[in-house]
Amino acid sequence: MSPVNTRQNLSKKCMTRIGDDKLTPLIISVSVVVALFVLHVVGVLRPVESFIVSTASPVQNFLFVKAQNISGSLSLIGSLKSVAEENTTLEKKVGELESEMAHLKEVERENELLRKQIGFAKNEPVETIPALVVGLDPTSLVQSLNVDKGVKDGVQIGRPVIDSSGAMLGKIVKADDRSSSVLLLTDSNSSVVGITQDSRATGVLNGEHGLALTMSTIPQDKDVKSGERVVTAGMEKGMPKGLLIGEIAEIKAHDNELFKEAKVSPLGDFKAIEMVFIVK
Amino acid sequence: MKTYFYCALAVLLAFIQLSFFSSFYIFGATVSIVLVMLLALIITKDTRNAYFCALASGLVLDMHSELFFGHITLLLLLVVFLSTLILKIFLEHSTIFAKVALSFIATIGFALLQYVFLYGLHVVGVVGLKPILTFEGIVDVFISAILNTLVLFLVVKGILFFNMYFDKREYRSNSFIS
Repeated sequence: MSPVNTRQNLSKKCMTRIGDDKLTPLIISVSVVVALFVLHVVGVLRPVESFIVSTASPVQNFLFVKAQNISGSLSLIGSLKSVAEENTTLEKKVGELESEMAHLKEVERENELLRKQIGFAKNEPVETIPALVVGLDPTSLVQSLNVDKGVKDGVQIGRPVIDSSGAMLGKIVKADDRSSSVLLLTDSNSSVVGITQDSRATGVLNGEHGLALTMSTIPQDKDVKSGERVVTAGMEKGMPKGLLIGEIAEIKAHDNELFKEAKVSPLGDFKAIEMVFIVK
Repeated sequence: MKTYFYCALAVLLAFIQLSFFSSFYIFGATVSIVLVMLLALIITKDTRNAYFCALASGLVLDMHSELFFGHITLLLLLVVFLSTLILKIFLEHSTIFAKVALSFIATIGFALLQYVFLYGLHVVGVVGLKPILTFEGIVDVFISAILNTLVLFLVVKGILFFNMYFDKREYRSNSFIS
């Protein structure tokens, strides 16, 4: 056999091997990911990503709401026994809140009068952007959700996100043209400065493994009590004062330490969010 | 034709995963329908399509992830590669439904790889957010592994049906050409 023929046979063999190689799809896929990663970092992919996300968001929201409803119904079946008990507790709470509201209305009127007399500026109501939740973060390692409003709708990074009852859910951490990501308060990476409503103790609230919140750096001299409400202190940029965060559940205090720590139960319903409001 | 069909299905499943299955809790855990589809393809010896489906669905998931772009795709590709190896070495001669047990290992493996990978990136400073693995999270992964195995059992039957359908169609068109 001539050397030319041998070389041709060898190259043919190599080509067949590469063509049949089961790793070829893996190599192609990894190369595509690397190329797309570069394009993503440069920002070339942004319009494409934005288009895909905004096109799919109505369907995504529909599916998200359906999943929440089914999941809610299933958990309701499981907790039928406790429903009656829960109903009695809630009825009692409604009565308490109604009387508290009547009292607060009086206080508000009095406050308005006093403000007028002193010449204080009137508190501006918080302006919000309503947004539909289209999904949760695909990794279970980060507690975040995706919403269908982005930079073009006036969303800015760092702005707080609240639910329909006004309780704070989290902060905007990523904003694309037509979608954004909200890092929930319960995520371990989340932090916000809060203040207790009665004892006026400030502290930093951090998420505790997606379950609750920990309020740290509370001065020892502040008499913080269980059940006290915690609101935002408004110390960070873009964070308004007075957004409801949660209730003090447990206080951990040691005499030999400079600060106290408290466990805070968030008041926002993190498991059944369909619509959120982004503070402008 | 088959590859395009599976890739379209993978993209659709990724969107369903993001919006439906991520918030559909069963005993506190969720079904990873994308992982189930990839494993079903591996079990039915369609590794080539499994890689392309991992690419298609992974990119959709990455678009919605808070962390480093591309990491879910890379991990899905790695899971497909490792699952194929495990299947070849340990489960080559097992029955197809015995191979479904692979889903249990793959789900736990995927969660573990994701944690190690992201934690490494956080230490290096590529990812700002620190991934946290909690006791509740570990329990959820185990329940999720059981759920995935159950769903895979049903999906494998579906995939076998589709494979048969496409093979028949291809055979018919080939015989028509010749």
